[in-house]
Amino acid sequence: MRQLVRKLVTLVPTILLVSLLTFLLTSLLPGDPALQVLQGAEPTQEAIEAVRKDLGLDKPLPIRYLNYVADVAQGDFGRSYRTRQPVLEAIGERLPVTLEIGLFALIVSIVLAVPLGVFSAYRANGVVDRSITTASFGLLAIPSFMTALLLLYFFAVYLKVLPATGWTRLTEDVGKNLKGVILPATALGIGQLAVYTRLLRSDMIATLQEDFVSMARAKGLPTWRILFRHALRPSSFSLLTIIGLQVGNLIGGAVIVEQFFALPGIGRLLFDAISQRDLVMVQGVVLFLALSTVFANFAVDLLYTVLDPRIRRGASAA
Amino acid sequence: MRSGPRSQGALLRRLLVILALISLVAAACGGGGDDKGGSTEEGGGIVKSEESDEGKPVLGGTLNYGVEAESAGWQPCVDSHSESGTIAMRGIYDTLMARATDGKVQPLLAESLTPNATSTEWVLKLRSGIKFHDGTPLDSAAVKTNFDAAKAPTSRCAGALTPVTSLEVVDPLTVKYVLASPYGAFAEVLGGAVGMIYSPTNAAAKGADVSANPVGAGPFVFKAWERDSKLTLEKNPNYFQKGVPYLDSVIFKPIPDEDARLASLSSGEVDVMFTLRQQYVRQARDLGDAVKRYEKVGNQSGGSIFNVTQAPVDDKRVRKALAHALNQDDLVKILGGEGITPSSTQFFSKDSPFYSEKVAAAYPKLDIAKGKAFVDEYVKDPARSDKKPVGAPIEVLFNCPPDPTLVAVAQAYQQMAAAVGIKMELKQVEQATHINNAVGKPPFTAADYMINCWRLGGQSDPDSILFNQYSPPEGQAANVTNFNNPEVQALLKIGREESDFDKRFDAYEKIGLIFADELPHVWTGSTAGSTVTKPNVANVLTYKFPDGKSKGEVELAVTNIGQLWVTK
Repeated sequence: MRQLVRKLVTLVPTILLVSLLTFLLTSLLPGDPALQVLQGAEPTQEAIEAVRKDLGLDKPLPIRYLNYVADVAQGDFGRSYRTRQPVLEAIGERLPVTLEIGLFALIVSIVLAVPLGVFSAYRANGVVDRSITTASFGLLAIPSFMTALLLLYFFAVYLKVLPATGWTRLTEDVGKNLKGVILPATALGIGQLAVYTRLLRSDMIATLQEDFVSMARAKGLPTWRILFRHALRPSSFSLLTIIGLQVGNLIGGAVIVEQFFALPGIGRLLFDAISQRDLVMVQGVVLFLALSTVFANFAVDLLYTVLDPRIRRGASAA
Repeated sequence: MRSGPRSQGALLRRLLVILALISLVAAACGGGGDDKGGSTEEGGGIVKSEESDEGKPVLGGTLNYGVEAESAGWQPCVDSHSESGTIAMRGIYDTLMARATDGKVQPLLAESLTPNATSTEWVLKLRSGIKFHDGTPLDSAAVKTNFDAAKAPTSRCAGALTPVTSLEVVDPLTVKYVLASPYGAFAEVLGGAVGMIYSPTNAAAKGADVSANPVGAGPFVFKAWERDSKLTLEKNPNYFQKGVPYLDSVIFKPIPDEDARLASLSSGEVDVMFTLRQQYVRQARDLGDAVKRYEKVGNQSGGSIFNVTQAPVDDKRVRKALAHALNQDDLVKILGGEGITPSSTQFFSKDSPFYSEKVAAAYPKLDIAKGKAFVDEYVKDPARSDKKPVGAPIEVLFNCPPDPTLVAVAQAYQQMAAAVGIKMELKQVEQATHINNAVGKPPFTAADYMINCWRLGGQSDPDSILFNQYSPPEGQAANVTNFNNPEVQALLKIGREESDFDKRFDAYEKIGLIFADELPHVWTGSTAGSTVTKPNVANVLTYKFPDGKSKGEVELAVTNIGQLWVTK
């Protein structure tokens, strides 16, 4: 428990640093947000200055940062320059979409990666292993937008079994929602699949050479039991670490996949905010994503204790 | 142009082609970009809009509309929106005035608009009995509240309303716009965002949230909006024009990726889509009878702007040399627009009443020898503006956003410039910065670029396209070229003040001739757009005014959903 609290406390400077960096980065970006707000309106000089004042951009940078931190500390992430929507409300609307796609992408990749990785390791350097290795590298080389395009043309245009674009909320229609998730989640998950398979394979090969595996074999335990009950768990540490680190990657991939499949997720929100110089929105979303990544890794740390009794015992001793 | 329904094999073949074009998709994912049009072979090849047998209107049904971008919100003069966002805005609000197919601006939501003899006062009469969707009456008080908000300095309409000094309420259904100076084309202003009147009751109650909860008096009532997913509008049963709208509801779905949007039409997620990209105009043609297409070459063209305050492009000879070097037909081929769009010589396409043959003849044609002669003259001039020694080559910098099609165009520019002896350096500049550099900083008399690829022109009246853009640069953010020509400014004034078409045509033709000689910008080709629908969508091209006689002009991207219907 104390360890938990200590870990949580170390998060505070991390978050402050992230907020400062995002604030500086977005403020130093070339391009005047006021011009973006008035884009296409043939603005007068007076209009541009009025909008700058309205957005608080006429104040010096340090004052703006302090105001921002004070507001955020009170739970006010501000309102978008462009859409005037409160930033937290925007994140709240988009989060379920990105989470659902991310979760399904993770499920798709893990459900496929575990058996593939385990089998590759079991029959290391065999024909199947070599085929899986080749296929993995192939998948790794395909960018997610290309996977997305292939999937879209095959399943939506050619077979017409899944929708090409669009999003139905889970609360609206579960069936439609799930149908809409399949293509983006697969496009996003398939790249991760290759990483997970390769990682699990190498760890598993090492584990299979351990004494306790030989012992299990000697006892005559069935192969599937040795592989999945005894060898898989100790081989999963790297996989788990990588999954924690991949949360950021999933969001990065979501930017492309959400844009392509026209999904109202965080990735698209961020993309639009950046290209429109909607600085308040960018700051809010990046801060939120940084927090998510930090907490995801925190959760992975906790999961280690579940996987490895030694860590668990160490924690209770501390 | 139509072919038979495509087989599945053909679709797979197309898939392979698409994979070959995969790098272009990355660009589409990257969004933005001043995609440009192109020209066609000699003698045309331009596809006219396809008229279909519209038959009798069918009541009911839902239309799914795939649009290219999400709007920031739905409040007129406050929120920015894409061209297709205007379709939804007009559905919610209508406009006080609108342009008919004969080019005249006619009353739509308003009953009449009458100027005084000098066009300095415009009396607007409203129809009696019109109510906003929330029951608030659309009267003079509502128009006044709208006007006051639109005049605020932060309003997106402040620029358009600069010539208007005040609005006087005459009686509950009559208002008078008072202008500082004559403005013959003022009616056009009321056909845009300024003429979209919203419920003042709703605006006061919702505050900043009004952008997501719009209330107008148009044919459709706002029902729900999930940003980046769908905007749902439902039929307004109390719409002032009886019998319309035909549709029960319209759902707008923003699908930014061009491939995904076209695929969504093929797979049935949307019934209508629009594209401005030549490559997809062509792909839509490949879909043959599976779709109906309405192609139009608008007044919007691709081109490049010069910052005429920066050497060496401050010298007309350098700009002329470059204009003579550009092969528009080749640029079009690069963009995939061959046989789709014509080349460009002026702000107006051939189907615009303001198109001038004289300007077309005066605009510099591809002529390497002439281009070289201009370069030679500049290079040998001891007083050359770039202060380089006599004989030193001309060096210019060309900026363009990092969109693959634009990169290809920029590289072609570079080669074409080299052919006349101009050394062109290329620079990729991200879209927002690109615009920012062109605008410059207050007082806007200088800008931070030399040559920028740029989209020029627009669908509205010449006055709203040109007036600010070529006004004296000081304090004028819209004048991106910093071109400061008193003769042009005097002609722009005539164009603004006169109501007589011939006098206006004359003024804009003269401006076109000055541009063809001075070249603050050069052209790369028009931009053709294509509205693509499923075969059962009808009446895309036109709509009737309340008088029952006039027909409304449907602009490049902006259909009138109030009078569309779907069969079956």
